[in-house]
Amino acid sequence: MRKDWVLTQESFDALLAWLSPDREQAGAKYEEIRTRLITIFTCRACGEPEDLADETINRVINKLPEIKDGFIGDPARYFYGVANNVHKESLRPKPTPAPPPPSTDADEIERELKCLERCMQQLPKAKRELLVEYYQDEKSAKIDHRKHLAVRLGIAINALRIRAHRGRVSLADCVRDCLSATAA
Amino acid sequence: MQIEAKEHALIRQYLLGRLPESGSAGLEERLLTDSEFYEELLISEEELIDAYLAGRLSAAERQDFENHFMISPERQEKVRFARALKRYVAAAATAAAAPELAPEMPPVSEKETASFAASASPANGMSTSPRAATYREKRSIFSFLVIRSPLLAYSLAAAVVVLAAITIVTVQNTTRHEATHFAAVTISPGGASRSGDQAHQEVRIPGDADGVRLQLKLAANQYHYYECTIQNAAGDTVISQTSLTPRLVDGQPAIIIEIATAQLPPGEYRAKVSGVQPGGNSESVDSYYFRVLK
Repeated sequence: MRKDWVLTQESFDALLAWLSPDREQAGAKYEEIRTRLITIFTCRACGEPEDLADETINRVINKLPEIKDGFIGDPARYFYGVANNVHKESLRPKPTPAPPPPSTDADEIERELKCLERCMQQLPKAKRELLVEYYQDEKSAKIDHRKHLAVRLGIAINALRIRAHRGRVSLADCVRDCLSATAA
Repeated sequence: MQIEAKEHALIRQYLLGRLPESGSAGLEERLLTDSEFYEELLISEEELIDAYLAGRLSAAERQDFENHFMISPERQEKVRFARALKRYVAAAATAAAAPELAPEMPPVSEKETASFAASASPANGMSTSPRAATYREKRSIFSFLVIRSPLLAYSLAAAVVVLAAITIVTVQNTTRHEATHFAAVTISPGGASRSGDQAHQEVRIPGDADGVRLQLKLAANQYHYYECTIQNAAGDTVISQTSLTPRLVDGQPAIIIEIATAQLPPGEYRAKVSGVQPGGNSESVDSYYFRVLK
């Protein structure tokens, strides 16, 4: 894979300008595309999804002077085409097997639980209760429980799923921060 | 925009690495351009992880989950987080179900105020902190007394303490009598009988038992967690539990499953125990064959 090309501030600015005339929106769009490329490479079981996403972005930036005037549509589609090429190239050398998962000892589990508890306490009460209620019970009891919860909150089941997911994501972020802070 | 059921199924297949390249191209392009669809994928990821931890995936799905989905460290981290959340929620639900013996008290210090406010039982009576009991404040229950004589105040206070203690003991005893009665049964890993069939150990459930505490003995404790699925003779799953940690029974590690008698009508059963490695991979440990008699 080609890695000799160096990203300059000027070329990066050009990319942002292509994504949106509003710099803030362009920055958000850039982050969005990068995150989703990482997800796609992860779903394809690539060993280093972040590196592949960055390589894809670098190549798009490199090609930008040639394509930006003529390209019509969502720029994300162009990234996707480039990502496919990057992925194919990454498959040429036999991928090294994934490293074994890091060991998780009892202390680590306890630390994660403590962080989770701390983060739960930091959440607004309504959000905390929603998470606990949403994820409790098993199988059919869980389905019934969620239906009742959605009715009580006056929202559709799918809206409840999304609300619980967003709460879970912010909780996971908090736990990650807490774990890095306590590890330091 | 509502995501259709067939799209849910497609996303699930994609996450498990089951979609061919031609089938996943349209889906991946949409992931890049459609924010709702991308969020749906993230939700499906969480649901898949939860189903894995709850033992709700088929054997084939489980294999794909472990060999494909779990390959990245980020996803392993998500599985660890989901496992911790599952434990937290189970503990919080148990704490919420436990009877409240004392009313909530106002906290004293600012630090404790924050901790208390965060963990206090909400209006519906559910405490969301599994350690809520430990955070509960020790308030002076005699603060309402307006008595100037310290001696009289302390005498009254002592009398109230004795009365309160008697009341609590009485309530606890009453609760104990009304508590669920589990009949403990220890089962060793099952071997084959001479005829080649599995030898079923007999489990007799007393008439007054509300449930059975199955103590499945392990040859060794080699895993971080264990999972157990109990199936009836028809192969239907009666109960499935994950994140189990062994306890000592007669000096030997054992997995303990509590199950209501209603879920165990007379008949033959098989309990399958798997051990879960730190990365989340599970391996079959042993099977236990038993016959329920009443």
